[in-house]
Amino acid sequence: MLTDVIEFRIDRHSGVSTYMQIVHQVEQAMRLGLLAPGDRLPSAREVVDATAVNPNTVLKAYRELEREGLVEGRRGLGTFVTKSLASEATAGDDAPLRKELARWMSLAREGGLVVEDVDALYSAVREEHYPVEERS
Amino acid sequence: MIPLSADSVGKRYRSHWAVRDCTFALPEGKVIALVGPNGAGKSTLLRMAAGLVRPTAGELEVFGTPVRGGTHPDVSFLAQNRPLYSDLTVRETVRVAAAMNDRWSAERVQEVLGLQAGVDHGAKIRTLSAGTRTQVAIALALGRLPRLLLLDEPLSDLDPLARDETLRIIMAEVADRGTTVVMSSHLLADLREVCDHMLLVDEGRVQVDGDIEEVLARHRILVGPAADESAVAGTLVSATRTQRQATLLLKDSGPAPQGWTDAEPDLESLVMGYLRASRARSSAPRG
Amino acid sequence: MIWASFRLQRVQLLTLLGVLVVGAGVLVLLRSNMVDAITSAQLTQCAARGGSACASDAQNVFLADWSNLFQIARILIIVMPILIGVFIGAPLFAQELENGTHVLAFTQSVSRTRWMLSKLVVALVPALVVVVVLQYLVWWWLTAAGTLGPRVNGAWNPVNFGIDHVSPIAYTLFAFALGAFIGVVSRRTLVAMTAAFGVFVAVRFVLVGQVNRFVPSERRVAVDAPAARDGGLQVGSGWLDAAGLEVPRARSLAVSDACRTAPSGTPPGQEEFLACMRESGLMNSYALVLPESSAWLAHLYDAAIFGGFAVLLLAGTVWALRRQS
Repeated sequence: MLTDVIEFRIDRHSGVSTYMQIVHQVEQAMRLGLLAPGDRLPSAREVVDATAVNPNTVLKAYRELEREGLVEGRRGLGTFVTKSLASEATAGDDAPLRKELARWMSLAREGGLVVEDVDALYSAVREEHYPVEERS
Repeated sequence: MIPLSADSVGKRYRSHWAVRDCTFALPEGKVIALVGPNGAGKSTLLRMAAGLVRPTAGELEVFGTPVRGGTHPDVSFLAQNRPLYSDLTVRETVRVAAAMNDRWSAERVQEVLGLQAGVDHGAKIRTLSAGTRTQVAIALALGRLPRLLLLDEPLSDLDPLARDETLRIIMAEVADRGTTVVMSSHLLADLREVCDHMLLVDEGRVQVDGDIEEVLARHRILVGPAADESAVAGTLVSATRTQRQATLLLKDSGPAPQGWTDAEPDLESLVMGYLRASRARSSAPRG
Repeated sequence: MIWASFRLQRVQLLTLLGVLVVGAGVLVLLRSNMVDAITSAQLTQCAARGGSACASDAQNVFLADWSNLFQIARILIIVMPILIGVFIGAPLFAQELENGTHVLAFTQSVSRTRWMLSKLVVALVPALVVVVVLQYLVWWWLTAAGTLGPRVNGAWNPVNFGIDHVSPIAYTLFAFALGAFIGVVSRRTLVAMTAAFGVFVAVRFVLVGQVNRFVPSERRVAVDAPAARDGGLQVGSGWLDAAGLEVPRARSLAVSDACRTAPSGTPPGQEEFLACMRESGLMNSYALVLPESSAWLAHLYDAAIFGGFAVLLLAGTVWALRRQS
């Protein structure tokens, strides 16, 4: 079933609004290639059944995605992904950068680093290359 | 069409005004949180909208029709005490409610009762848990196929599982039928995640009325030196002050002056700010 | 809506049905046993004509067996209205208001008036039917006892009056409406039941016999109507002069006092006394009597009064419920 493509996980205590969480999760799924053009996003009712969020919030998130040009609502049919955010570099298990990161990760593990060390290293290097003020 | 509007509505019980000078117009298709502390006038407001209580002053309109001495056919009301006949079984209760309505969807009721596992249709109402009672009462409310659903404290007394199921039923109704929902609660946490719009009531008056995101976006919390408050622009809602530092909740404020930090409030602190302000106003004249 | 009202009144309706079935069965059985007893004791003539036709031994045996049962049956019909008022009328709306279930009804599409009427009809009509049937059966039974039963005391006897004609229906209507009204005003079942009981008993007690004054009385002159009992109710007496006009009470008293204290010092005999009265122009004594055949009129007045109260109380009930929140 198309609706099995993505399921939202709403964290009520994250402090991030439900609406932003949905937008982010759709974008992330698109980046990872889990959602491709032509895929239908779950209907508001399906999201309500799964998570008991306000359907208006879901629709608002979809409108935001539509404004960003990522999806398109078709009357009576649902909301469909129209664009791909996945690139060679990010989509699929065999993307080159992903393979390289996986290799680095296994080296770290072999070197005895615990997960906190890995996170700290990752964040530090990310800060160097993507300073906060440059991020949108 | 505006599902529910009030024009200078007031309700006086003897010398006490439970609701006073309330004016608002709720947007259609939204989930509206009616919040305020206990005794703020939420129940009175809902009971007036349901046609159970006659306003002392002003007038309410439901879908453009003035509310007079009866419930509008497009309105369903869930009373706080979930009035159900305790000697009847669930099945009989549904039949009684069906008999009292012209427009009735037995399928809708069965659908809602079917949403939670194990509502025994042969069980007497008095044997049901608070959560199941609420769900039966909501099922009856939805059987009327309302366009405006008024729920008085729908989540009070519910355990987390029943709370989640109840919210799911209400949200599914919104998704399926575009029903406008007004939910009251004295606990903000109950409603924060599921509502689009808020109506904050205290001391019988409307304190805040608007889309939650917009309301939050229009307010700032500024923290800075207490001696320097005059530099701050905007409408002051409420303030807490220590000897040196002031924390101000502002509406439509300008940019934060030098030396002040600036943050968007979360809903909780916004509501607290308004409640503090309304308390200060109401206690001030009495001295 | 009617089904809903039936379901909500189920306990009361089943109780009424039980009372009706058991009561009717018992009354039919009692009557047939009594008729057998009258026949076997050879009291048939006595029951039909009374007086000299009765052998006093057989009559006493019969009365020892049956008069308590007669009393119980009469009391049952007398108290049924108040039982209906207390157990059906008073809780009808009080229970809904007390439990808040009226809010369920008031927020559905059925109008408040229709809801009220449906509840009233479903609760009241079966109660009236039971009262009428049992009243008829008791009357039928007591009639079969003839002069051996309490009906010998005549239609004006307060207990006989209370169980006869339209009076029980009127009392039931009044008791029911009273209970319903107090229930709506007090919003408390127990309060309504207690108050309805007290008020009904008081009103009923105060009004006993009050309607009799509206029934025209017959003037019976002692000479042509001797003391024979014909079931009439004497409501006054006095003396007539030669022209057949009533003598003012003060004068007739003065004269009769004078005639009683004869100059000889010994009390006068009946003949002497009457002769003395005639000498003073008081020719005949008379009695004012409500004939038994006029009792129906008193019942109609009675029903009008209690029925009128009932209508006012029901109107008050509807009015109070419409203002209810």
